[in-house]
Amino acid sequence: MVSWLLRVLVLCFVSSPAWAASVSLVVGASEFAAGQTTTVEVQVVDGKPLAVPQITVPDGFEIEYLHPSNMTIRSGGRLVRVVRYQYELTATVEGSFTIGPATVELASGEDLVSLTRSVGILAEGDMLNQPFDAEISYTPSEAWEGEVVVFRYRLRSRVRPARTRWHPFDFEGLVAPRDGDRPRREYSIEDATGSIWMDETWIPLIVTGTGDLSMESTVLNLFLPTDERRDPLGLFGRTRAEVVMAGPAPLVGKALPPAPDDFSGLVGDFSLEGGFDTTALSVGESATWTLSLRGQGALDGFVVPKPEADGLRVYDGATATSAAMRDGTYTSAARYELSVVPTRAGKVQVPKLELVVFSPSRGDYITLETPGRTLTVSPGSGTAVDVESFAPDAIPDEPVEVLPADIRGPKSFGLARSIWLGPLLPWALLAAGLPGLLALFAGGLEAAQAARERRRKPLEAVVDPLARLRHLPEEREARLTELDAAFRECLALREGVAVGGLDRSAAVANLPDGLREKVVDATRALDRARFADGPEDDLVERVITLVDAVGDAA
Amino acid sequence: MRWLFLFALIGCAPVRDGTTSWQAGELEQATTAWTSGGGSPSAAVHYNLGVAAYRAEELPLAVAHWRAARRLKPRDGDVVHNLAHVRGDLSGVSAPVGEPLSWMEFATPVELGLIGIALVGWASFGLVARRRRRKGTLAPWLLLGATGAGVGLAGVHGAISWTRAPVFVLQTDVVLRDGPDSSGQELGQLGAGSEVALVAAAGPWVRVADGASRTGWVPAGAGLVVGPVPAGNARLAGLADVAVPAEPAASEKP
Repeated sequence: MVSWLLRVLVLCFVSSPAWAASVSLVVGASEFAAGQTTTVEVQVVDGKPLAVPQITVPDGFEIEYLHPSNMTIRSGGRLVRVVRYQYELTATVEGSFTIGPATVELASGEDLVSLTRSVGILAEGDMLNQPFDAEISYTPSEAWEGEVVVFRYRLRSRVRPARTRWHPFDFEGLVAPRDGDRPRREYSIEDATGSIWMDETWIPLIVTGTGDLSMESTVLNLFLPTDERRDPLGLFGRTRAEVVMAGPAPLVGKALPPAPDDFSGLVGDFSLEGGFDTTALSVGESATWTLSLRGQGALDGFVVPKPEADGLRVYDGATATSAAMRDGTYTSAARYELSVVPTRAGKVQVPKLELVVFSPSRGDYITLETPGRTLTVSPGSGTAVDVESFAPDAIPDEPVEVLPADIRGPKSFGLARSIWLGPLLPWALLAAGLPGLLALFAGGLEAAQAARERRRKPLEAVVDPLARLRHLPEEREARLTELDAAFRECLALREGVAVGGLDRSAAVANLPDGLREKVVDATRALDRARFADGPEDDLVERVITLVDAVGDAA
Repeated sequence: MRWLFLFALIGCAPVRDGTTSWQAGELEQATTAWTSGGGSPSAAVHYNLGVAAYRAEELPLAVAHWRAARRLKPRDGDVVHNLAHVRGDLSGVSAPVGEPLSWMEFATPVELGLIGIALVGWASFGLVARRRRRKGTLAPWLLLGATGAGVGLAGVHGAISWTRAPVFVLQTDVVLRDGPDSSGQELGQLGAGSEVALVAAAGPWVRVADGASRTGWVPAGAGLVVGPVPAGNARLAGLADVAVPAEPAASEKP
């Protein structure tokens, strides 16, 4: 019943109308050479396309549609259908181009348009004339202090490597921004001589030093597969190691020009937008002033200045920042919410917000601003407009230190001293295992005892010399041999050893006086009869008597 | 059980009292209360001292305390959060020596050892019961015991591997030299907040190794704070005395 309900639920999700269809355009390589081919993919998420998406490509490119594919993924707690269309893009001329957008018509009648992508096309034959090479670079190669540069390291190889290991990079005069990832892409492009395997990684870095910040060189350890196998079944291949030098990556850090007093500390090409959720409110209520700051640059350490004006107070609200690498460019965005609380009725003017930032593209300081707004404030139900302080008078009127915003405060629960159990671990392990070990040991002892018993019992049960003598063969030689065997068995039985392990002379020496001499005489007579054709006489009776006597003596 | 609860209450009192003082704005009393437990400070105490140091704008000391706390409780979200928050402020600080391994976020060496002990105990119980009943197969219990012993020994090994004395550099740009002398060749610099391992000592100089596999000499009085020194390790404990302790030498492990 439950599984049936789950199936119905899943079907409902899958067959439900699209919530928000989207289309994206992915170009395999952002840089390749004329005459080479890369892959292009259009992904339609949560939509039902009517036809193959059309991609706008500039002159100098040939694009060929290959095939579609479908997949279903779980996103945001629901199943989403993704349709992917594969293309091959071949460049014929060098230059910088924009690929796209891709346009797709959906069954719902809606037309979706993707973003465009930038690609750089090198001159023909400029790509890779050797089995592999490695490259590092900073973009841009000249940057202002505080500007974000992108460090890229790239491997190009005719053979897909088994693994790669770049030596740690020494970024002197550069630090990583707080937000943002380090995207890595592995893909291949095709040319007339075959495939080229590409492995690229981008690292955004903030310039903190000035002067020559170049990275002279770095080393890449490359492990390429060979045809040799490490195992007889040929499941595991061997690799050969190659050392590849990459570099230099030139970078010059430039000091910022003298900054104005109200410089916000931001370095980058940003845009600022703002808006209020309401402009009519009562005294004591708050309006949310949302500011959106986005652009190419880092927002580390930036705090929104709070404008001051008569008749209102401004408080910090929620903040959300994000950053991402796209097309090799570091882009960050932040959303700040300020709570604006009017303290008097009437028309209250919220002043415009100005940010002085340094624009690397202009090489100068610029002022971003978002306009203010006039709030219409009604008196409201209460008359308490004095919101100077909610604190009781007992607290001294001196500046109160506050914790930095994002640091979590001290704990109020926890042991004061650390209890380190490390030295006890081996002993506790031994103590836990000791009963089991003793049980195993005791079991082993018992098993050994039982085995000994088993070895002893056949000797006593089977060996019966007198029984052997009751049925002596008719033939002389066989009869004499049986007599000798009966002697040996009775001596072995007395010594408590197997017949094969009997030391006969020692066993005879252990016999009591009187009996020993009779046994020796009988043994000699028996040897004479067996090996020197001596008389047999009463040998049978003597042996039977002596075997019986030896058995009694045992 | 009541005694255990009482001991726990007594053991937690310094942390609770210190935080109460902190919330009342009495910072010195808070620090005094947190450190009044004596012996090896716990992860909570290290964490709170780190918060206090951060508030006093002593970033390297704050990082030192938080890293010490992380060694004791790798999964403590507050510690991880605060360390992540100050990561951007630690430019020039090399990676700490013996950074907690990623598997320790799932189980510390002691926890691993306890899991091993539980498995071995279970196998031991099974073997004894089997012997008493005189029936049953041996292999599953042997397999369980061997697994438990492996896990437990891994925990013991992990615990022993941490037998070292970490040192936290508190001053800015401490020069690393190739010999215990100020005329020694410069091998590099240690940024404030760097965590290094104490290797040897010669007079007023100590030999340290940092996370970038650099080994060199720095002045003992260059502002080093000795972190947890393993109990019973006389050699390292002796070396630790050479350094200038900013905090009482501790003897604890994660």
